[in-house]
Amino acid sequence: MILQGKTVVVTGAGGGIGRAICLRLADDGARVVVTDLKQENAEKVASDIRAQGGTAFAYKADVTDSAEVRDVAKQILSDLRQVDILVNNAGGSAALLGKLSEFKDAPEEVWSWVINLNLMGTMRFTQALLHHMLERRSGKIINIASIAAEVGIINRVDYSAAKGGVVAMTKALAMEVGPCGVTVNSISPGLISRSTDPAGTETSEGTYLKRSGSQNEVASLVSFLASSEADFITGVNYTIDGGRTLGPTGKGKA
Amino acid sequence: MRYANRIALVTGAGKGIGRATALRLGAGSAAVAVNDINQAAAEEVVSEICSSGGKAMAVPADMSKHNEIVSMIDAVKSKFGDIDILVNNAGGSCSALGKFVPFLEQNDQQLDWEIAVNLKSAIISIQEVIPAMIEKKYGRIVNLSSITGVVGMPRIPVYAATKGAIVSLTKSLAMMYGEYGITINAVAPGAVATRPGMEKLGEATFLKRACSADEIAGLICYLCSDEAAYITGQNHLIDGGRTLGTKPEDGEK
Repeated sequence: MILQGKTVVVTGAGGGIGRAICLRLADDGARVVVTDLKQENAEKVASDIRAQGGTAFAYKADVTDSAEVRDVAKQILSDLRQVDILVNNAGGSAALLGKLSEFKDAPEEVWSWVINLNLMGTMRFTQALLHHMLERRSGKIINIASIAAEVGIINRVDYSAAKGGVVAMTKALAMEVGPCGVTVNSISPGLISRSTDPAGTETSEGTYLKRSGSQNEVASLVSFLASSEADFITGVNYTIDGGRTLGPTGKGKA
Repeated sequence: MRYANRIALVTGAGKGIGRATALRLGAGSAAVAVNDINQAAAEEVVSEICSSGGKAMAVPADMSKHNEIVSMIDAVKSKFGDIDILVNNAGGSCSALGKFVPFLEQNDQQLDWEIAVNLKSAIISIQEVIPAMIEKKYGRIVNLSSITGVVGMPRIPVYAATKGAIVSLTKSLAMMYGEYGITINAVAPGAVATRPGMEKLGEATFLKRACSADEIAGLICYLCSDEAAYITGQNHLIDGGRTLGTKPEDGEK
């Protein structure tokens, strides 16, 4: 129970990786604040956690809405009194709108929405809880970035830029808040299975491990970085991608 | 237990990060082979592991010598079996030989030693353990790099070069052996106080403290666990922010 006594807030936690992170951190003993764009999705995950004997609370939070983020952060602090760990997981590409395209054809309302969701959403939630962490001289912020930050993904220029922004923000903020006992790190997942079974993986030729990662594997890394084991780790971006961003295969050579 | 039925070898484990790693693996139920150039130090760590109910053996060897590495690994195989977890921790800068030698005065023998103990030792150890890992379709290899391998360090350029080489070795081998369920990662510490008096290193970090060897061991041991199966080919910085950018200079826009 490495997170016993800790309270963690996870954004975009109504499904997928966010849900897996919530379940894992609850297993580790944390009180989990499940936030999602859709209240009912957050409620569902919170009730799954309670069904397994964990402690969870559900809140609606649209990370693209400044006022809503401010209000929900205030509400969480008033209801739970402390937040030790923030996992900024909410995000996604223009695929969520069905509007992936080459950048030359991308309307500004689409790419600015993607940057707003991924980068500004992370900055908003961080700022809303940061003063609380600084006052307590304790806190861990974990941002879910993407391998897009380092290597880019085609037809996702906006998403790549936003995730690159998340990694850079992680580093700069780590310097600002490090002396006050707050650490800031990011995780860059590669190809992660969308399987509703969080342990599920699929065969994939695109990685050197020849498979996709599972949501649970990402959640495990979040758990490690959220724990006191990671107290000396700050301003870093840890990639979890089965080797997808490593160099070329060297095939076709003598 | 986290490493039950796993056989681990930690090099340079008589003190510091290697010792802390060996103790954690032992506490997690791995059978641990404890290497050090100093036999007494290795045996002391072994008795620490055994007295808390763990399983360990001392395998003293000079990691700058090819034949000693090979016979050490043979000794582990014959007593414990094939190695599942290899932590290449042995190493040091030229000062480790007892006296700091400035770069321009480092002779061939000193250069060879520094490259052997930091880089070749890891290469040879990996060559020795990989065939059995391929057969078992399981393996965890963690190589100790250093922040010097990423951002460089004055005074010890050769050490920094070997640590940079460790990072590219790690990536290339991760590509070669990933399909066999073998993960190969590096850990790059910065600002570790392994001896009293080293705490002032902490001033250079944004967390304003140095870390203990055990904190580095925590990251190494996470990467050695089954849970970290999807992480490979990465160099994991753990430095309290020491390598992050600096404050703007006066007048800088």
